[in-house]
Amino acid sequence: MSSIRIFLTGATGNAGEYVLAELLRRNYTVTALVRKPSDSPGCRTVIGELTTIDRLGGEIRNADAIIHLACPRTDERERVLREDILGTSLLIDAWRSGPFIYASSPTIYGHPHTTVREDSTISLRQWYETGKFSNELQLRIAERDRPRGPCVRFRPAMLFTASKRRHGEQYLNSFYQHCRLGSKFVFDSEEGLETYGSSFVGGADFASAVAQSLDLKVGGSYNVVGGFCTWRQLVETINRIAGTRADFLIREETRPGPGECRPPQSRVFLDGSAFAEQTGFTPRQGLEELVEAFVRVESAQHA
Amino acid sequence: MGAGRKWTFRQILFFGGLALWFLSTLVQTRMGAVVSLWTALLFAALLLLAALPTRTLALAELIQPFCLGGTMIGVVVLIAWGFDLVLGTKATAMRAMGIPLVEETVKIAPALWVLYRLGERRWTLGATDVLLLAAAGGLGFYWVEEAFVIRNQGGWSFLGSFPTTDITGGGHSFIAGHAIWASISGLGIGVALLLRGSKLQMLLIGVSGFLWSALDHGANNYIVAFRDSLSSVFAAISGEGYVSLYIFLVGAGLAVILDLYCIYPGLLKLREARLPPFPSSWEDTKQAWRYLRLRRQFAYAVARYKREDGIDKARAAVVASSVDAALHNWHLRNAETETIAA
Repeated sequence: MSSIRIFLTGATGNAGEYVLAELLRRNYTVTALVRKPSDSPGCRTVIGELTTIDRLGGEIRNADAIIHLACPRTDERERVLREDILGTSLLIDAWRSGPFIYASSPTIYGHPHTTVREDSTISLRQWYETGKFSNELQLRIAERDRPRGPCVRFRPAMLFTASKRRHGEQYLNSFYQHCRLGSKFVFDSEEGLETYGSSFVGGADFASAVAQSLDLKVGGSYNVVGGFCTWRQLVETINRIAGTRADFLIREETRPGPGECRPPQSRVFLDGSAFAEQTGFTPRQGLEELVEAFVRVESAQHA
Repeated sequence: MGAGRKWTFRQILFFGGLALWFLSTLVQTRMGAVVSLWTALLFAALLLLAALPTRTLALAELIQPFCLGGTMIGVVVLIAWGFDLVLGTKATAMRAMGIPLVEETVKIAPALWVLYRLGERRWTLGATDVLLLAAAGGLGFYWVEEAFVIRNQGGWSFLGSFPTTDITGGGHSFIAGHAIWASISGLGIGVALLLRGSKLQMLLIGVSGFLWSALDHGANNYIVAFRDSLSSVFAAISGEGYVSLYIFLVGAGLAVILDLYCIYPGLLKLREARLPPFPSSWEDTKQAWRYLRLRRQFAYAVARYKREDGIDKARAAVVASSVDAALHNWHLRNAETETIAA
């Protein structure tokens, strides 16, 4: 066992499952915050909530690094304020030394149709991204007021995972379910069909990025990207691997009718070169592999 | 044809009402309106100059409390009429102390209204901003009252009307005037909102200015109406009226220092809070001024964030982050404009 102790939040989440596995693979000593005693991610756990995390001050103070992935995936103002922003504030207060790695979100950029770098325009429209950006600011203030270690703020592209939590509000799951139903994906133009899509990153690649960031000496905000796919490519890949028969429809009015699905009519292309330059991070998971893993797990479950 | 500015119905109504108000006061009081407006503007100019390195409010945002302050004199007239109905028209201690309390309340009301209407933006104001809001309300009230006082007295002197105060008895006693009293009320609120702390602390600091103003104003009216032992006590407490002047001067100075502390040593050396390039044109200067005010808003929001606890800290983080995003985007827009110009 490594002597480096890590305090991890969100270990049972969509990305957390992969991050924990990667940390254990690298022999870190991990203590995970879980809500219920029945949540057993495979490492030492402490029971608690983000909103009362100050009660676990000792655990956090003893950690050599903090990885904060937990977040309520909601746009409800009160939940974001209490569970996300206040929870993170309490975690920052208890943090004593070592790196602090935080999983933010590229939704803070809005849905621009250009390549998005870390210094691109910020567009906070929903409470979810407001919470993420507020937490980034809290960390930056903490980093400058009382330096305790580098603060790394990740803005991972759309996460493609086959984790236990893959059924949450995850794009891959949503596309897969519509493909199974044989839905028609509606686009506003031929050009949209060819260009709309998003950058993505596989769970294992993201976990690898998180683990690599523990060695960073300087903090910063970083996009983490595995690749880019258009929605068309994603649907066609699912069709091919899962044997589904989803189709496309082009019309100006994109409000979906019965048996239809409207993917985001935007092209979010994240530039992840800054993090790659800092750490030499190279993604390994391609679209094909990620969809295959997802379909495999889904098929096994249905079987 | 160039794209002219389109006026909304609300704007037309507002400026129409404003013009009507000014004209009717001018017609009724003639030179009174001109002299009192001149002295009010002079006082405002001095305050704005002092608050130049710290304020975040635009000048246009001070017009509303000024107008509301002027309107409030009508409210006072109605309440005074009620007093007269109940107590009779002869001078009583109740009237001498009661009317100033009402006046101080209605003068600070416009500032409180604007603060309420600003919503979360109020957490990005400095102490001097609240001082300016309160002073604007007091000046609106002063303008109307002084215009009629000058008309009723049938004359005016420049020194007698400046700076919205009165020095009487050969300089022995001093009357602070509505703008200074309202400013002192605003100082308490501004400092309490910026320093935060427990609810009790905030309440005590917040109302302290108002209580002093009401006391000094009441003491002044009482001394004018009565010559008894209580008037001597009031004269001693208020330092023949001079204490208010000192509180105002020292308080305004401290508010500026407190705000400067938030902006300069307290302002984080974050990349997006860096100073803009030196402006090279009038348009650039206007942009830079807007940016500087935004930067100050960020500094005040961060100062509040650092002093908050619990859920209020989370709320403060949201306010600070929204200003932070605006700062970040300002630099991007600026860079884009430069690229296009090149």
